[in-house]
Amino acid sequence: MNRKVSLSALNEWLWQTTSSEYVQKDLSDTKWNWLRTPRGLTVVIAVSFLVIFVAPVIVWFVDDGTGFVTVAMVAGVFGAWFLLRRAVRLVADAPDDALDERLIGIRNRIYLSAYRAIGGVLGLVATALLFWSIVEIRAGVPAATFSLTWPQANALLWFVFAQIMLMPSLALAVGLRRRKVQL
Amino acid sequence: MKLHYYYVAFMLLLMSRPSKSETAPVANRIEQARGALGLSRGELADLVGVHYQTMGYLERGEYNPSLELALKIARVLEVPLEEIFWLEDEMKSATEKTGQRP
Repeated sequence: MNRKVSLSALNEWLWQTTSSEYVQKDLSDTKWNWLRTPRGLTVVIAVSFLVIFVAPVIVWFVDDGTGFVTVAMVAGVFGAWFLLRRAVRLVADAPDDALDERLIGIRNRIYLSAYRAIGGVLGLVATALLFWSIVEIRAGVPAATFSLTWPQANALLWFVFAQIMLMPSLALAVGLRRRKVQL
Repeated sequence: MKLHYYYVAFMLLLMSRPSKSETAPVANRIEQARGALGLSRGELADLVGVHYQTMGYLERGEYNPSLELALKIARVLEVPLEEIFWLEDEMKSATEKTGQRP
């Protein structure tokens, strides 16, 4: 096995968060149908946006000393991840062999949207940092000086993790809510 | 925060664009051919290897199959491909010329 193949296998393993059996089960599941109604999808999408965009800001500014706020945010990320996956029947995370050509097409298009969304958000953050560093340099402060508290480090890390974990399913949930995609 | 709002609105707008495959004008006679053979939707879906829901979208013309899937469907339904799938504008022009389906 050469280096390229092993890296590809490792990447595939990292992204394999479900199996064909679970996807088949979820595709015919009715237990979570309440989550797949327009209202249910709206709630899941709103919770996900809160977890991705609002929770890190709260964790960044609120240092409660006990770490409860940080733990609540991490729990929120996993909670939203679980609900989103149920709402989209695991399609965003499904391996090829669990889907037919129509669902594979949907999943692949969703990843384009998710990539653009993540790229856009991180691009905005990078741009803000760039402007911040310019302002700092002009004020005579070395731009390399950037200190973070432990809650702030967590806020930053989980802001990125939440996007990676949630964005594909979130993009699909938004498509479903707007009736542009049907599973 | 305001920037985020505009960004999310922009992303939703991007995601709302229909893809080419959703708008391609291909019509079909799968349901009639399936009925003639006495196959249920689920049975046909299993025979060609797609999900039950996908067969529904195919029959309603809401999803256009790949060439491979179209050929599989034609083979299972025992009819030539062109008798199952056709372009809608073909049908329109044929109807205009002869008053009949192509």
